[in-house]
Amino acid sequence: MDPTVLLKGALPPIAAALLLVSICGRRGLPLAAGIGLYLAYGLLKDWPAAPWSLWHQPNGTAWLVWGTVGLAAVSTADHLGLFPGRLAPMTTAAAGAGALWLMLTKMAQRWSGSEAALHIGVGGVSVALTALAMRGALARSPRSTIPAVMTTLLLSLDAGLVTLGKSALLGQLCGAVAAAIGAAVGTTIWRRGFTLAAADGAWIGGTHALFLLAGVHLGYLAWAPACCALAAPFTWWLLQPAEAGRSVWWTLRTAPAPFALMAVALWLAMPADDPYAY
Amino acid sequence: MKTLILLPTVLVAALVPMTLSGEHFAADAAKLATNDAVDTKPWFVDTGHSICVFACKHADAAWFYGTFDRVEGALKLDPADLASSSVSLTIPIDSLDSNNKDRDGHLMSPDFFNAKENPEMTFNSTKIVADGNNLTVTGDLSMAGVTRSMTIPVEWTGDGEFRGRRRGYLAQFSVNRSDFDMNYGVAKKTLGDEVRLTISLELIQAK
Repeated sequence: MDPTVLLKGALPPIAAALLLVSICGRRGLPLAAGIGLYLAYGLLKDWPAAPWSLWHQPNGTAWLVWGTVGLAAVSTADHLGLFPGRLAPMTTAAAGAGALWLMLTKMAQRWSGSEAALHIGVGGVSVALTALAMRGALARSPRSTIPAVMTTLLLSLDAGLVTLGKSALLGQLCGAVAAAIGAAVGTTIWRRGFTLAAADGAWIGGTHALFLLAGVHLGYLAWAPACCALAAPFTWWLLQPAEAGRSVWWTLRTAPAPFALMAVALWLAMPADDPYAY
Repeated sequence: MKTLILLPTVLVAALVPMTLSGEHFAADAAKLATNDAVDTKPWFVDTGHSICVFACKHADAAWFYGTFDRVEGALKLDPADLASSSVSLTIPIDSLDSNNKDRDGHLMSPDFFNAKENPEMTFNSTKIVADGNNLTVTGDLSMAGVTRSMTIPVEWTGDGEFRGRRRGYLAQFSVNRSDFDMNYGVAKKTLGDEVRLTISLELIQAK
């Protein structure tokens, strides 16, 4: 692939994450990822139309970007303690489901009522539950850089999956979000160790599910690998120890299942020949 | 006396064919008039004999060709009233064939046509100018969710009869795919920005 194109996708989120995490600490990461994704889309494709324009002329990929930015905004508000009580997880779930609904608005115009209900209903619940599962998983994760490294790897594998689903653009955009977390981990060199908070689970889990479903609906990713990958955060949430304890033990107990699922998903999506060799 | 009898006979004999031939001319004129009336009837694209061929430069080296095997649409042409004339064409993106299934899938992905969201390429005329049988058609070309106004020269290729009146047109023009937000490979010239389109239409007139 053209290195210039790779840089257009990777540099904005890396720069935004290095800057905002250095200034604002870990609270700056969701916003950095949102800004980085917006800039990457603008440089790779075109500046996404404003939401009020998209409402009249929907575009799934542009809504995907805005949906991820919206989830990042919810996470930032959560970081800042703006949600009292249980409002944070409820807002997270609503934002995730809403983002999927907006992403599929244009396609839903050609679906029957039952198809729309199935894809938007089940898909929305999947995004909401994934965001909540990741939120729950990060709440019980050790205070170390390992969960951040794991989520970077998870989203990087998502990027590979959607690229195998015939869309290099979606792959690069998902990779941009992964790059933001990776860059935030990199700030450990000159700051104290970077850790993810429960609030980050909302946008990381939501982004994971949104991009996989975008790969299926907008691209040509098959359902089997997508479902396999969608399940990965749930295994993280279910199988990690109740207490974070020592990082090494936590990693050995938690990491194999989600990454085994991602490996199976990649294996299922992998074509016999190089899909871009033409 | 014989002359008196023969003269009217000869005159009648001479006049009958003339009259008949006059009727024939009148019938021809009527037929022409009918044909003129027929001309305002709409024409529909014969999908079995129409095609859209595209060409795009690969690796800045050679032109590779592909087709959209299905072209649908209609032409309403009234030479006396071009303002009320119109062309509308629809090309389903899933009729794309670039002679490589992997490439077809990629061309239909969000990197290019985003076919799941925008399953058709459409052209709807806004102005038609006639130059003899040839046309210059201005209209809105929509693909990948983007609409751009274009002026396309359209060459008349002939009229014929085969299970109805038929008419052929050929349009050859270029578009820059980056104008339609299809930027994949443009920067490195993996795939050229310019796409040459050739649309050959066989139209059949409504009865």
